Amino acid sequence: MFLIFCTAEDKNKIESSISRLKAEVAALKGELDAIKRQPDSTAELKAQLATLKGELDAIKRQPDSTVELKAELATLKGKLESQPDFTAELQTQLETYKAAITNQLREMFQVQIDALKKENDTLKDEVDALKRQPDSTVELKAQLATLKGELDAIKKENAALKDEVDKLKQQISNPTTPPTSPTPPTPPTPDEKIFYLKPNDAAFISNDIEKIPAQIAKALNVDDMKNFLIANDSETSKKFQKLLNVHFKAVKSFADKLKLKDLDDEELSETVTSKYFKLFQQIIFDNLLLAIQRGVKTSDDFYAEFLAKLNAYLEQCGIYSVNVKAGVKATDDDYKNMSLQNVKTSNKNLAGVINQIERLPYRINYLDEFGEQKFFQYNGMMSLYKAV
Amino acid sequence: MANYLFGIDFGACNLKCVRADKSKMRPVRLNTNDDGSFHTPNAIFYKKNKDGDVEFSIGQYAIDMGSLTPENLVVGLKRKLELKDWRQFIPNLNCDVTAEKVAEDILKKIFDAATKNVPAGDESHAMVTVPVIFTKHQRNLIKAAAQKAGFIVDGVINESFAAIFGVDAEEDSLNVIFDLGGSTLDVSIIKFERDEVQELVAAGLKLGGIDIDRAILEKILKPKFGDALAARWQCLNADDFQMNFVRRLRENLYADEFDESVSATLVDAYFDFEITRAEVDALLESEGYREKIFAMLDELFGELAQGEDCFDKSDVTKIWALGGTMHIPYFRNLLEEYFGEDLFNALDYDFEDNDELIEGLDDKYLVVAGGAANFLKQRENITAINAIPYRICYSLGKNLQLGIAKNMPAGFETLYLHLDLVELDNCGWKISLYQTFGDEANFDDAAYLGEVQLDSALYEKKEKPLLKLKMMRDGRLRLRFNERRMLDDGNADIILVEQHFLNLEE
Repeated sequence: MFLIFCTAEDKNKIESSISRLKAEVAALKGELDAIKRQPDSTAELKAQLATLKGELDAIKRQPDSTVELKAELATLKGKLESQPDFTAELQTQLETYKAAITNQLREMFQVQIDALKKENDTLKDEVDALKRQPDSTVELKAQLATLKGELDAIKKENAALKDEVDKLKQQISNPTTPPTSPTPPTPPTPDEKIFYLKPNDAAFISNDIEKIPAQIAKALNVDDMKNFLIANDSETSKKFQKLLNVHFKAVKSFADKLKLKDLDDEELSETVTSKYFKLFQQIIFDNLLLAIQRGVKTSDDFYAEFLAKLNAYLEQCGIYSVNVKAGVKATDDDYKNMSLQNVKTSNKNLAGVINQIERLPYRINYLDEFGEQKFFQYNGMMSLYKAV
Repeated sequence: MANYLFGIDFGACNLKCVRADKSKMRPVRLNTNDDGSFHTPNAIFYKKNKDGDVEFSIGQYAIDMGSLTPENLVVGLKRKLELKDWRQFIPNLNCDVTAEKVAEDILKKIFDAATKNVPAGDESHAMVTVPVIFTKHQRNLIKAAAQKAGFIVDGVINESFAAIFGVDAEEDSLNVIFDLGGSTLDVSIIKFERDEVQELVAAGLKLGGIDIDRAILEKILKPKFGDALAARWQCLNADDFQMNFVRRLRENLYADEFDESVSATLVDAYFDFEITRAEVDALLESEGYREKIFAMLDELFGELAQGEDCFDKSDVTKIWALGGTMHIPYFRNLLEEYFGEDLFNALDYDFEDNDELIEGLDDKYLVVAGGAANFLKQRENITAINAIPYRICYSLGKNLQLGIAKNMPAGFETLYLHLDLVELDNCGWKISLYQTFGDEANFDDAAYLGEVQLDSALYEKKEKPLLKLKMMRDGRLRLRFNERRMLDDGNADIILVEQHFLNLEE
C-alpha cells in the first residue's frame, strides 16, 4: 500500500465527497425500503397482462370482419356513386326560383314605378296647363295701361273743352272779339292710299308658253330700287338692300329652274303664277312693306320715296292691291281680304271699326284649267276695334 | 257615269286635297282667297248671315273671322279627334259640336271645292289619310264624316303609307318614309315592288310642328320678350293668335335664304322680335327630340329585323323626308346622323326640289294627299299590305292580356293562349279585343277593337280552351278557339272548336 500524501484542501474535498456519497446511499436505501414496502404490483400487472393476452386471443379468434366491412364500404360507395347527382338540378331549380322571384319582384316594382311615372306625367301636364294659363295679372296690367291711356286722352280732351268754354265765356262777357270756332279734328293720315295699286284687267302670265319667260324676267328688273338704296347711306337702307338681294336671287333661281314643257297648256298660267306669286310673299309683302308702313309714319322721306319705286316694280310684275280704308266699319269683303287683330276699346261706337291698316291685300290674276280668270291673293293685315 | 278620285290629307295644321286625273295629279284649291300655296289651315268658323242662317268657312278666312268671336271657331280638330268625347259649345249654333260633326262640316267644304266641276251623277271617291297612331275608332270617325260630306270613301290609310305612292320610288326598293307634320311624326318602312307594296313596320309619335311652336312660345319668346308680348297681345283670342304668330316666325326663320337671325314685325307694336336658329336648335335638343326619334327608329328596325327578310338599316334604299316641319334643319341633321350621309345628306335636301314627286305634284306638302289619290287610282292593279302598328290584346273582363305584338308580319300566328274557364263564365263567353300603342297592356291606353261571342255549348270544359290569333294578309284578325279532347283511340289531341274573324282595317 502506498501512502498518499494530500493537502488539507484535498482532504476536505474528499470528505465532502464521502459525505455526499453517504447521503446518496442513504437516499437510495430509503427509496429501496419504500419500494419494498410498496405492495407487490407485479403480480397485478402480470394478471392484467394475462387478461389482455386473453382478450387479444379472443379477438383473434373472432371472425375477421374487416373484409366484410370493406366490401360493405365498397358497395355503399358504389351505390353512392351510382345515385344521380341532384345538386346540379337542385341548383338549376334554385336559380329558376330565384329568377322567378326576382322577376316577380321586378314586375311588382315596375308596376309601382310605372304608376308613379304616370302620376308624375299627369302632374307635369297639370303644371304645364297651369303655366299656359294666361297670366291674368299681366293682362290686367295691360288693360290698366290701356284705360290709363284712354283716361289721359279724355282728360286732355276735357282740358281742351274747358279752355274753349272759358274762351267762349270770355267772348260772351266781352263781345269785342269774334268767337273762335272749335278746332276740327285732324283727319287720319291716308297712309293706305300711298300703297294702293290699281287692279289689272288680264292675267299676268297666260297659257302662251312663248311669252312666259319674258313676263317672269320683269321681276328681275330691280335696278331702280337698288340704285336708290345704294345712294342712301343708312342702316335701314342696308337692311333693305339685303332683303332685295335675297328676293332677286329667289326670282333668278325660279326663272332658271322653270321647266315649262313639263306642264300641260291649260295649267301653265295657274301653276306658273302660283309659284311666281310666292316669290313676293316673304320678302316684299311680309317684310319690306310692313317696314315701310312703320317708316312712313316718321318724318323720314326715305320710306315714301322707296315705296314709290317699290310700287312701280310691283306694277310691272303684274301685282296690284285692294283698297281698304281705316277709320270705317269693316265690311264682309274686308274680313275675307284681311288678317285681323283686335284692339280692345270701351267705346261701343268703335266696335268693328278698322283701327289701322298694316298692309293692303295684294293680288295677281291667272287663268285656271278651264280658262276662267281668277286671282291669287296675299291677305292684308289690319287691326279692328272690339268693344269690351 | 265617271268616277273622280280624290286623296284627302286631313292634316293638323293644313287641309290638302288632290284629284287623280288620267295622267297626273291635280291639287284642289280649298281657300276662300287662295294665295297660290294650297295651304288651307285646318280651322272652321261658324257664322250667322244677315238672314240668321248659319254658314261655315274653313281656312285662313275662318281663322280671321274667329279673331272676332273665337268661341265660334274650332282649330286643331285633329288633336281633338284624339280626345275622348270632345265637344265645344258654338254660340252661333246655340249647341255643342262634337269632333265628328266638325270633321263632317270641314269635309263638306272640301267636297264642295273638290267637286265644283264634277258633273251631276258622277261619283267622287276618296282615300283619306290619318296618322299611324290613330285608333280604329278615330279612323271610323273620319271615314263616317267624309261619307256624310258626300264622298264615297274607299279607305282610310296611314299618311306615311300613302306618301310612298306620291313619290317616284324605285322598283324592288326598301323605303323609309319620315313624315314630320304639324301634329304627328309618322314613319313607315315600305318594301316597294312592281305589283306589291308592303308596309313592313310603322310607328307614330305625338310630336309635330304644333308642339315645337308651343315650346318656342313658352320657353324662348315669353322669357325673352315677356313684357312686350303681354302688352302687345291684348287681343281676346290670345293663344290662337300667339300660336299663329309663332308659326309664321318659325317659317321665316327657316326660309332657305335667311341667315341665322330673323326678325318679325307685329301689327301695331313697332317692335322686332328676334330669335335665332341656334336658340331653336338648343330648345329642340333640351326637349329630347333626338332621344325620342332615335328610340322610335331603333324600335322599328328591331321589329323589322324579326321579319322573314331580316332587313336592317343597311338594306334601306331611300329615305323620304316629308311634312312641313322638315324644313327645320335640326331634324334633317338627325336623319343624317342616324342613317349616315350616304343615305341621307342633310345639306342636299331641298324642300323646293320636287323632281322626285309623281307627275302633277309640285309641292312636298301635297305628297300625302297626292299619294292617297294615286293609291286609289292603282289599287286594283297592285297588292297593298299594311303593317299593324299596334299591339292586339284581349280581355275576358278583368285584365288585359297581350296577344299579338306591334308590327308583326302578315301571316303571323300566336302560340296557344290559355283561356280561364271561370273568367269565361263570368264574362258570358264574350272576348273583347283592344289595340294599344304602348309597350304594356292596360285599359288606360287601350282602344276598343271589337268582340267575339263564343258558343259555350260547343266546349267540353274539361280543360282550358286554347286561343290562337293570326294576322291575315287581307288585314283581318283570325281567332281560332281550340280544346284538348280525348279521341276514340284513347289519345288526346287539340281540336278546333270554332273560328271567327275581325276586321282591323276599314
